[in-house]
Amino acid sequence: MQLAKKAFRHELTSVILPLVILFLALIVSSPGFLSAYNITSQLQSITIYMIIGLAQMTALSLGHLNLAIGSIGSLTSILMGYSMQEMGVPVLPALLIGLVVATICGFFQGLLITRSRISPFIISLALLSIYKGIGVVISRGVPFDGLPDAIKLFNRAKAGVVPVTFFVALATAIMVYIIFRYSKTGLRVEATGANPRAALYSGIQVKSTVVIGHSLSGLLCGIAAIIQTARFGSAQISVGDDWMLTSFVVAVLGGTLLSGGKASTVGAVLGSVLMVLINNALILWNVNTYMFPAILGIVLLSAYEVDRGRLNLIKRQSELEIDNEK
Amino acid sequence: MKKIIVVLLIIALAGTALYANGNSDTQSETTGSDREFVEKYPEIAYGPVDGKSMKDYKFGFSFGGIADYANPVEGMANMAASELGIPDITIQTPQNWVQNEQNQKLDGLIASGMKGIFMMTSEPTAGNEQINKMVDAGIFIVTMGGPPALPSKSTLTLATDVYQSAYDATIIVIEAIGKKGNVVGLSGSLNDTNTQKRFKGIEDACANYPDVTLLQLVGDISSAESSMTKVGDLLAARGSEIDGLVAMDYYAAFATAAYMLENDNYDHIKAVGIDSDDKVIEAIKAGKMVGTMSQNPWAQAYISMYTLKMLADGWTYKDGQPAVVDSGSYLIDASTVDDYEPMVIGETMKMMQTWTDRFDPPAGR
Amino acid sequence: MKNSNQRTMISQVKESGILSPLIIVAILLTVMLILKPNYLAATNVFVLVKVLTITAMVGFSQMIIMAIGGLNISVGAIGALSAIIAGGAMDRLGVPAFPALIIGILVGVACGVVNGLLIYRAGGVGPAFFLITLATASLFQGINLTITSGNPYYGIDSKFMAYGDTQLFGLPLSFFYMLLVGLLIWFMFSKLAIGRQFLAFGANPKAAELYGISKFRVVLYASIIAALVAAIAGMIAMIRIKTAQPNMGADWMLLSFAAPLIGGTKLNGGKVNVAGCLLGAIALTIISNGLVHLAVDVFWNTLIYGTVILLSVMVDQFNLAGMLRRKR
Repeated sequence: MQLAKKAFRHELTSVILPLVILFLALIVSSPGFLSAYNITSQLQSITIYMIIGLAQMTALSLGHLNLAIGSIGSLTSILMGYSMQEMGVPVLPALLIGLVVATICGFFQGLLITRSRISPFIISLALLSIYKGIGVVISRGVPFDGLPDAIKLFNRAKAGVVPVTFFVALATAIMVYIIFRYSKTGLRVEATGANPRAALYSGIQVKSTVVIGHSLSGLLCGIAAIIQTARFGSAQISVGDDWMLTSFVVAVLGGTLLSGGKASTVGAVLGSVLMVLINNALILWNVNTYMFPAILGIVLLSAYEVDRGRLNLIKRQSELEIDNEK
Repeated sequence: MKKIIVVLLIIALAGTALYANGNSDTQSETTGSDREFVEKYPEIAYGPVDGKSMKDYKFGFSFGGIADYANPVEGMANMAASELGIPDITIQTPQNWVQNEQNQKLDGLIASGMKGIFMMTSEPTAGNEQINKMVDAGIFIVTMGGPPALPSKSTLTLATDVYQSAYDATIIVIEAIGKKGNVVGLSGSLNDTNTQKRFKGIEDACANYPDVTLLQLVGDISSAESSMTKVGDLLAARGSEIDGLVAMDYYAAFATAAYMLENDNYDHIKAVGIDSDDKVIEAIKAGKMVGTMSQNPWAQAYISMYTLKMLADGWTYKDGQPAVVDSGSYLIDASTVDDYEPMVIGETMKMMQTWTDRFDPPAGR
Repeated sequence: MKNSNQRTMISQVKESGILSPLIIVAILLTVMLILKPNYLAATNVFVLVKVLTITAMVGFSQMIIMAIGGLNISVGAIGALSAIIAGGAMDRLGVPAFPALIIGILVGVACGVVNGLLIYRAGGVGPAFFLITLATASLFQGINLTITSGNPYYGIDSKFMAYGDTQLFGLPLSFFYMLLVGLLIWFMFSKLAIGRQFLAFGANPKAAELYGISKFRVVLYASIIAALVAAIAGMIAMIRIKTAQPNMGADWMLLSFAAPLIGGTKLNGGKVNVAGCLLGAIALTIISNGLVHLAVDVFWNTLIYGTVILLSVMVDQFNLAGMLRRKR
């Protein structure tokens, strides 16, 4: 009992608890859930959700919303496709170009936010159209579908049932975890997000921290864009169409916002797993498509409730402890 | 603490993976019902063939996104299923036209035991990689509605040739305006590669007539509201110059019909739409639109279901048969507007008469 | 004398904070009139006004929540759900026009109550708005889709259309409803106690609570009023497209933020600008209408749209900076 209470106090409870319950329910109810095909497929989905969740988490921990997340992905994909198909750039340099482009997109967003007094929200909103617009102009809506086979092989490669791309996502998550946990940059980003003024007084270069944070968010979009392009087998503007809302949901389920902007890498990772499992469960149980959004809404609201319960418990316990000391 | 959780999660995933390798399908077997066999096409077997059971005939359907177009699918597919003595269709369609979303639906369908799927990809090019994956997993795939980018591993596509349909629609408009004047073209989302094909069809048709000018192409129409805004802006800007209008998108046709019905200023415009939204039909009946190009979701659903059954029975699609089979595009105009549905279904049955000619029968039959 | 009069007028305009959105609109209009001298022809104005009406309404709705320091992701979902229920009542249940209108608006208000209560429960400040409306937007949209299965309702009572489609001075009646709503919102914020409480709470929630302003009342009332405005916008949108379409409101979320932000309302709360929001909506409407009007290549539309929005808000910034420097 004591242990259960202690576990319940942990901040990741509100994502782990539903995750475990759902996982067990799926194993019991749907034999197809554990088929090799399904596991590979779900891991493929988790891969992309995880990385964009981390990208959004990085922006959220700065106290900003990154609305341009999908557009950065779209532009990155188009430029990679263009350089491979139209300019004959080999695969690896092209991927590098993609990562650089994505980082520049994020860098530019951070720069605009810090150098102008325009609301970060509307900058992100305008860049959402601008980045996507550049991609549309370059591609004229036509996908680059003559990419080198290496791209498709990257998507298909598997170790057992685990797709290779999933390992890339895990490596990315570990990198982000290290940045936020052990590097000064991560600490500065969190301090800036928690209270920009206090951060400024304590000697943090708030402006450059914001720029670095957004560049990191952009870089993560770039990694996601590479994997998404591989999964589509072609570079096209529709890469990233569904990223914005999904990234918010993943970050929220992972507790980044619930804890007041504190970056929770593990939370975002678990959030992406939960999000994909929810979708998978609804399909395996053959729930009517039209009800999906309503159920997702209820799941989110319940996640908040679990978190409230957890916070209340902590509060009550600490009150008890204070009483005891008296 | 967090590290422990990550480790546990990875162990859980690895454990599941190991378990999955040795996991066998334990679903209970259902037997064929005693429905009376309608021997419409005697060469196609009723119910499971020898050595197969009902669960080998579980088929799924996924359209590219929520759309009016797919409304007739469930009824037609289940009609085919009852004629064939196989289970009813399972439907999982993504809410938006987003390939990621559809991939999850398709993967879920397969995980819940579907052996064949007929579908339209949310995006023609991006969907192809998913088709590859499913075919490699031994799933029978038939595409309909719109073809995936070719070449594709999909057995075949039953679809209206969107280029041809836009081309034909434009010719009808040009004929209606006396082969002289200004034409505008509308199509849907810029993400959709069909949009480019439709624009191309409109451009090519206009190019055949020296006295016809293609004034403007308007795209990026993806919802009821944006279509009302775009079509309204277009008509306000150049309504008096426009003689003919080709609306090759569901919402564009809907908005055109709505403006034509409410407003007498644009009666000089000859418009042809696409699909059979109630508003469009109303506008045709009221003489406000020349007609609309109906595609054939009835045939696509019905024949797709038969095709999946045949593939599961061991039929193979003959080499040299086209990857895309034109399921027809029918002009609904004032003369056919009252009974287009029976007409289109009639055409479907005609198509089905010779359908098996396209396939090699299973060995030993 | 005349000079000083002029000066007070200018400083009044400056203080009201509508100078920069006014300049943005003036620039956009001038550009359009130079490129297309007949831009303001009656037919185009009519179309412009119809789009403007909805953009301004959703902007107002968002602005009310922004005033108390929050944001609302569910604007479009509320508008769509109200319209779908009103449309469904007419089409499926044969409810007459007026009761259907009331039902639709009540559904919107109910959504507002749900939002308000949940936001309060989640803390009532900061991320609570984002978290809750992200979830309720999904919830409302799901209810909408479950009811309609994605299909529109066509059987809208023609009397219902008449509420907004009739013309007055050559403009649709719905435009005047929008102006009336704007006026009422302005009145609420400048004259009524509740409006001032909203602003005080938005500026500093903790201080406002110490002054005895009830957080519960502020959050609940603001959510209800914002949802009411969104529901009216839903009704007007339904009148405009003549059917109740389940995917209505899909484009509202970003528009709803852009209109008040261009118009000088701040995201951090405590400040509203009704006239500015209207001007912001006018600017957005001209940009998207202008792209079609000038027959810009469809593939350039998205890029130009975003660039013009960014330039617009930059004009605002440079302009204000210049004004301040000159003053000192």
